[in-house]
Amino acid sequence: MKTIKLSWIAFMLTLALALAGCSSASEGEPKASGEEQAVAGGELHVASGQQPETLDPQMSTGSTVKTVARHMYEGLLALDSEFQPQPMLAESWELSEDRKTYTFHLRQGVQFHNGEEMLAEDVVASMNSWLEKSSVASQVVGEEASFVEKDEYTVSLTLKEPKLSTLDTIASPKQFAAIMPKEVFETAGANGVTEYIGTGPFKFVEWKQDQYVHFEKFEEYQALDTPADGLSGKKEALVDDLYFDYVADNTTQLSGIQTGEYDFADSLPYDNYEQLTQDPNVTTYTDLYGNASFHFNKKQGLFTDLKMRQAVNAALSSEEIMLAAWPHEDLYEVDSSYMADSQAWFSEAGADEFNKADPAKVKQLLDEAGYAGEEIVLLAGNDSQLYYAAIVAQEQLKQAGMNVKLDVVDRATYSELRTDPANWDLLSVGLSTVTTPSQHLSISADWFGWAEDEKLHEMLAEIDASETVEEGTAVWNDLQDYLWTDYLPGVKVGDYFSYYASTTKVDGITIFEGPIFWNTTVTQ
Amino acid sequence: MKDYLMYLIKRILSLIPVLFVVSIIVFLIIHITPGDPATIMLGEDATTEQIEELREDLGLNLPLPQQYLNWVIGALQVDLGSSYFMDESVTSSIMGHLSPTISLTIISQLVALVIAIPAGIFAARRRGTIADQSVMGVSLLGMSVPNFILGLLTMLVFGVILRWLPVAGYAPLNTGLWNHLQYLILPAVSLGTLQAALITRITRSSMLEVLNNNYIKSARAKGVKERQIIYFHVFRNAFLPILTVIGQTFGGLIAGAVITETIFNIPGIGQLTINSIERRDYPMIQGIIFFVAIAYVLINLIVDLLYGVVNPRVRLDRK
Repeated sequence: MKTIKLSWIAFMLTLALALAGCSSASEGEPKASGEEQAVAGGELHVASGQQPETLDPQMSTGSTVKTVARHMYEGLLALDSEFQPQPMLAESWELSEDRKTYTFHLRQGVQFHNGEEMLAEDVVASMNSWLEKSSVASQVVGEEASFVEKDEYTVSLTLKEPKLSTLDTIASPKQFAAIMPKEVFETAGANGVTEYIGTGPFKFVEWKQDQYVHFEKFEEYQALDTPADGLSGKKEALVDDLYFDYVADNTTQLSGIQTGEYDFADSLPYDNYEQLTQDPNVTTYTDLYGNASFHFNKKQGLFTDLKMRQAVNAALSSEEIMLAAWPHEDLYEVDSSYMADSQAWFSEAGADEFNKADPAKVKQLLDEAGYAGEEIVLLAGNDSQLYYAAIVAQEQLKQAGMNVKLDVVDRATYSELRTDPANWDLLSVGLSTVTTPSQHLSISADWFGWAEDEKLHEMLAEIDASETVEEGTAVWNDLQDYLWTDYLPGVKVGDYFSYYASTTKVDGITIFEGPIFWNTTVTQ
Repeated sequence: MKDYLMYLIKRILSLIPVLFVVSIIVFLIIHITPGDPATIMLGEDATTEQIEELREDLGLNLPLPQQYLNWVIGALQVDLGSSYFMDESVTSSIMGHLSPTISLTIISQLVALVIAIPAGIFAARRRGTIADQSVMGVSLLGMSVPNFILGLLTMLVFGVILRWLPVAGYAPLNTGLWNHLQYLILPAVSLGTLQAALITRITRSSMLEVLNNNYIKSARAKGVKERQIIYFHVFRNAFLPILTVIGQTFGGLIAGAVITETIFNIPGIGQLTINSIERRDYPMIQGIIFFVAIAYVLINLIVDLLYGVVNPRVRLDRK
């Protein structure tokens, strides 16, 4: 009798196990394991440390959205590896005499993933939706401007005033101007489109929440015949299936790339960089992310005083900060230019004021500002290497005589706290690479830090109004000098890089503003 | 039988105040916490103006009591709302994430029981010896090691160095039993160890208590075989407290799954919880906590009902 009841419990447990099994019978595909045979074509598994917030690239400035969505969507233009706009869905364009009207001629016969041809009406709907959603777009192109259909294969955009950075903005890979069929905007909600249809080399199959985004090769894709360069030129899906597997833990990513569980991993522990570069089965890649900066709250508090901002600038020593956060010389550069060195906008103006670490000067500036030990709140997120940068910066500022309190919070809290100038004085930020100076967040009046300086915006307007990049860069040189010596919206301490790794089975990955998986093969 | 039914109804009705309190507390906590779905969705570079606009569109600017009321009205109609980030309802999201967690929990519990019950009995029988002390020492260690450390260690040894098992991921049961199990063994071991330690200790002490009873002595005096005494007399009588702990550890397993699922990348309820909290997906967080509260209460109910099955002396009218 007693035996029977005990075995009844065992039976219940078994039954529960069996039930659990049944309920998973409808689950999606399994993840490819290392034992599976990889052939040309086949599957490419990318371990992604973050899940995209949305698959509507017009909606979000997030970098995972950018990396994932560009495999499925294309814009009118695309950047080459030197950040120059090149044709993509527009085969050519011209600018009117008064430099206010852009006319884009679309490629004919381009198919959406739903089988319909891309026409001017789709481009107009997409571009205008983008103008509405993207703050960079409305800033550069102007709120009133909109795209208009000229004929089936021609659209135009008329600006109120000439803007040098118009094409760069349209080609920008972040929060990018993806072209979609006009119908998808009719069903879109406040959180973006819900039907994912583009023209790219991969088409959307499934987004399994918290597991993966699955794309497959788009058989009807018509590649350009110009050579692949950055995001432009010839694109070919060489694998049949592309998975962005969501793998949150970076140690798990590390183990997964070492064992071949994943073909590519995008969020690996920085401390393991050197180890991976020496692993014969692994290829590593570095990718310029942008500026590591400490941003001043110029709306209220201590740093409304230029002298105080200058004191911070004079106190910081870049090398120590960068090395603490990005522990390998491949992963950072100590450099004062706001724009990247691969861009025409690169400038060394104002470099004299950069990376001083001059205690005597700090003391003098603090005295002049009348600083009496008031608390300075340094706000930092805990989800990236910038956190370590903030710790070192706090220490340096303390040593220089400033009373700095470090406020470390999770990403969502950070994003919320920084919107209110009452919450912080100094903000730790990573500013991703932009294509033109006017898109630079550190000098935006709307972005956190609120750079509302008159002279700054006059000069930015001058850059935007200039006729050529050469003319623009001359003004930018002066402006960057002004920023370092007389305004200081923040202190840039250096450039930092993301790093990724793939197994050696993978070939052909391009890194430009994130990894690119077209023209990429996986072989055994 | 009637008593049984009444008791069941009473217990199920007692869920209502529990859920009500849980829902209010959760609602308040997540809304007091800074950060909201709009800031996350728009990404790092979004401006204040953009964020404000999206907040308005998503209905995040409504007064809190109104937001709560809307949610309660939905919940009463078995509609827990929709995720802000996924084109999916909260209910179907939870269902989709349920089976990995159930598998993981059951396998962990099996791992725990297979280790713990024999170890506990073994230690009790050899009370005071070195064998006993070693078992207790190991179980103390098992209780003290955080399960993420154990997870990473097992991953390193069996996944990366020996390559016996995959380091992370998940395959549903319909892809084959072994395929399903191979992804769950390491997480189940790392998750089950803590429970095993707890159950070992309670098994030992509960066994010892019974061993000293007179009826055991008289069984021995009658010449009943020692093995029979241990398994049929002592263990049966010592099982009630063990069952209680097993019931409680189910709750612990769900909590532990949050960490284990993140490390081993298993798309279960634990991972859904973490992700939803990170992106402040309010309806999802509320839904999950609601669901876990129900599960917790139900598991306790089942354990209570099992008492009567295991030991007929425990009658419900005593409650």
